[in-house]
Amino acid sequence: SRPPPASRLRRRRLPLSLPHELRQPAATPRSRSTRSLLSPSADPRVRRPSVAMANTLRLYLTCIRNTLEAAMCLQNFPCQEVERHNKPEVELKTSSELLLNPVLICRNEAEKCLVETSINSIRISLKVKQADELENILAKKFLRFLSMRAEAFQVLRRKPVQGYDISFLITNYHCEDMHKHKLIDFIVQFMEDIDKEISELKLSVNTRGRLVATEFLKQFI
Amino acid sequence: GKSLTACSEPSSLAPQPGSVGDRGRRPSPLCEPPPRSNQKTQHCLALLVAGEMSSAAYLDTDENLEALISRIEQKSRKIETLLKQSKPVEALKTALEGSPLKTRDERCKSANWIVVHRAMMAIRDIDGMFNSLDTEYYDILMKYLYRGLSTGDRPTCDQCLKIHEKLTERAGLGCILRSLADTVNTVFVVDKSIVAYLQLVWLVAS
Repeated sequence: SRPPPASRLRRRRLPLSLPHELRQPAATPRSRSTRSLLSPSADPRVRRPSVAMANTLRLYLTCIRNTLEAAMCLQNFPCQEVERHNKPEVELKTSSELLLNPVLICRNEAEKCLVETSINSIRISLKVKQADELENILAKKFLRFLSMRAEAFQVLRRKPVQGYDISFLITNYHCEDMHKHKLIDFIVQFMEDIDKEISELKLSVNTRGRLVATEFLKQFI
Repeated sequence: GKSLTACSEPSSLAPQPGSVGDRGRRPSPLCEPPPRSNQKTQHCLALLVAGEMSSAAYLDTDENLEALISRIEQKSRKIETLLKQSKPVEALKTALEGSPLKTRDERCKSANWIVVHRAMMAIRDIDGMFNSLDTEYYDILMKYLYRGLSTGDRPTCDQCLKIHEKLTERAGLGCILRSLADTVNTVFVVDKSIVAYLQLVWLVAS
């Protein structure tokens, strides 16, 4: 067969001067600063509440979600005091210029959420609803159970902040490894599910107690 | 070490009224008016210029604080009049104007908060309020909303949550971040003594 023409054997070479469109950097994805110029109603980061939630709970969770969306702007920041150390500044609070204003969001006298932000970390502390003594005990035991397994949750703190039931510590490393909106979804979903969980525990304790008492008292009939 | 980021600068995302970035505009009514001039104030001003008195101490002189308190009392009377005339939005604007943000005196801040709280609780139509409220009031309103949310009082928290939702839809997340990042112009006194104590504990431990 005929050999291929020499032009096809020659290696294709790029021109010495690249065309203008190749020299320009590739179009960057829409940056945060550009996104922030969007009107707030068009900004997808501002969450619209769902219809199904009760109104005050919906407003409370929406407020927390929007606050976390704004506050979770974390970046790596090595420790200023000790070289080659990297510490979550919100825990140490050694430099006031690295801390933002702490924000306390209360739904009522019993439920509140404290959001403390710094340059490289954010701490979210929750106080859950506890209507009576039984709910107090169940919440304490259940949340202690979760706190002891904090490593599995990664963002959970082993000990809650004084005055609160449970605390989360999110650092810049978590934001690099995980999606920010997913972290916020997790926190909000946790707050919804913890109330349901404690209500179910209370119901099951009351049901068990009633059954045990009925069976025990039957022998005296 | 790394240089400090913009999150430590007050309101870096928008020019403050009366600042260098706010060129060619008349002073906003939201700015604090300058302290009244008398002999003692002029002496304090001389110390400030000579560098022997800090600006925070100058703002917290007795005369300036008394003037602030009397101005807040006048504002309170004006707000009561506006509320009787069924003008809650005007009352809220009056309450937000001239807020003592730079002073470190808790009395002034608490007094102004009471006035703003009174006006805020009188609002019934929140969408209508935002239709007539100027955008320059959004940042200061967001700061007072967070102060209201921290009280724990159920009616106050309910009202603040409703307004917070609408304000976030209107002003966006930048408004929330400016209220978090502004550690100079605050509506409550940030307790620096806790930070100083923790620094001492860390130094002793290390």
